[in-house]
Amino acid sequence: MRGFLERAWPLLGLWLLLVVVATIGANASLVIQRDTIEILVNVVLVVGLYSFVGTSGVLSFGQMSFMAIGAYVGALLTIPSVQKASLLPDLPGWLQAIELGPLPGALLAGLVTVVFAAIIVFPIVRLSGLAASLVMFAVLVIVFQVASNWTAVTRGSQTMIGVPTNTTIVTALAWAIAVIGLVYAYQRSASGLRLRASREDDFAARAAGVSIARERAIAFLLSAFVTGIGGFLYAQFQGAFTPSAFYLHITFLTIAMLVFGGQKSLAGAVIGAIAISILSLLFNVAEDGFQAGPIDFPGRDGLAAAGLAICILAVLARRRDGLMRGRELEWPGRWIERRRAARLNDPETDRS
Amino acid sequence: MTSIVQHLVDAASLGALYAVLAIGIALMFGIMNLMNLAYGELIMIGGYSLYALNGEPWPLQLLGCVVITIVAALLMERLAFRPFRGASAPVLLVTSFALSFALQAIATVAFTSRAKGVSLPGFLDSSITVGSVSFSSLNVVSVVAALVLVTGLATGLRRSMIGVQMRAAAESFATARLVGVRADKVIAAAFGISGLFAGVAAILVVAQSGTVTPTIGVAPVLVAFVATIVGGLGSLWGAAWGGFGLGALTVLLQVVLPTELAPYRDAFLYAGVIFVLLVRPQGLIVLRARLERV
Repeated sequence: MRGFLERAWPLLGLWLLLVVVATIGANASLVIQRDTIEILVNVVLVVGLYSFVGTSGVLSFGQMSFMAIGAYVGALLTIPSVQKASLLPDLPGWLQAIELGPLPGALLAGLVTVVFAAIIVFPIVRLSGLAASLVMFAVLVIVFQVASNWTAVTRGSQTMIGVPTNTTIVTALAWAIAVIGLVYAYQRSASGLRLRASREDDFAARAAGVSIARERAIAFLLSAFVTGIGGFLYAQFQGAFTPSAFYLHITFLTIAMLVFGGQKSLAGAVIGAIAISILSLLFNVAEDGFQAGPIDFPGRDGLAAAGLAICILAVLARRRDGLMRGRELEWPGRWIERRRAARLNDPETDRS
Repeated sequence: MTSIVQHLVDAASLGALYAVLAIGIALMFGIMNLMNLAYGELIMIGGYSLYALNGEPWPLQLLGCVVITIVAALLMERLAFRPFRGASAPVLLVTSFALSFALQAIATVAFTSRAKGVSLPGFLDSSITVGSVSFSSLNVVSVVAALVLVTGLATGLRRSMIGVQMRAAAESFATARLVGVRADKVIAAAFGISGLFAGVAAILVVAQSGTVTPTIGVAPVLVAFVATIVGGLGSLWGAAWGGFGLGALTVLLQVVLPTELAPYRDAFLYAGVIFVLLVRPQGLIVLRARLERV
């Protein structure tokens, strides 16, 4: 039993962490309940980003275009027909008639995102490094522009409203657990290992017969699916959104979460997303002003962003590889044993 | 005919501005592999120093803007980027992003997010008529400023000692250090020069709207970022041509796109960017030193 726990701990530990976060959040005030959903949605998005960026080592500035597609497709599939007729009168009839529940809606939104990703995947996986990053950025700009102007389908730059708010703490937690399991299974699969080998040294991987383009394509489609689901959850959490919700701000925020946690491990992605989300919520409270005993803090615009950014800088200056330094969670028992052994062997160097 | 000349002037001036922006980014990238998103905030700092110097004699206002921006660039290198020297590209990128975010937020705290009016000297805001064509003096100033800066940089890199060292460092940082190039000096020089470019860009950008906001640098830095990669990473000429081409293409699309497609201008622009990168993944100008070798 312990052997199994120990081996599965990198996954079980993350699941446990999410369950703890969700349980604490679910039993707190209404505001914190909403914040908890936001944290879980961020986890899904960052895990989606990780499944391509973290495993392949190619930094992409465009994965949030998948979030946009997941959100819009999800909205079109789940808004009740009657409402759709008044919100989007120019929508084709068959699309207007569709009315799906949250689960089929999410899966279909994810699949449509995968289809979109499949159209653009082949040129992208053949490019290296910054060229791929920039092409994905161009994709982001194009998706944003189309979403902002295709009035018949997306309401253009007007707010898309009337999206059913299905995302609760339970559904968000369930999806977060599911996508973490999916991505964990992928990164341990033969294909995931080949891709991660190419991330560390692409020439060595190629020499060993790894087709980098193929492995990257698989990760890219997986990332599209997960990020699309994340977009769906986001839309069904907010109930209303505009194209700018899926543009530069969220792109850089999710990248910051991933790098903060450590971009080379799934644990880094999850912990980075949780840590930055919580930090940013705390700073938002400070920005609105608070009273703590004798301290009466008036609050001022911009403080939250400044505080968050300075925290990220301070942590990265001390830990360049992020909080997790590219490691997965380690079984607590083994960690204690290692510490004890280190202390016995070398009492001088153990300064902690 | 008149309108064609008009468009050409517009294209040249936007291209010139983008080229200045792109070279500022490319300088830092060439030497320390840093894609500096906080470059936009140097432009913002320049903008706010123009605002702070409102009402001073114009040479003082413009010079003050450039000097303050250069000092800010040097401070940025010393305080924010030196602890990260040698870090990997994504870490540097996130660092610069966090820095840019922090500077924007600090500007919001200090000046609020409302636009502040800047009164610039009249010669940036008048129009010149040649024959039947009249164009704004800002267009002319942009082109002249870009030409002066680029020529000055090209000469400096060729003739001066520090210029030669910078070129060597851009080619291979480690080798340059082995033959005695001082890393601190070269990196500071690169930041200082890109501060100079940012200061001039700040004047040109602020002159377009007459106002400055905390987010004034975001759009220019994205353009510069795209231009640098399209032009060919690490190549200054590539960055200049990339910026110029991007500006010219923007104006061209504005002219030729039919009205119903006009809102999609940037979508077409970025489709063009994708096309260029698919045909030439290394960018327009490929540096031998940057080719991947086993």
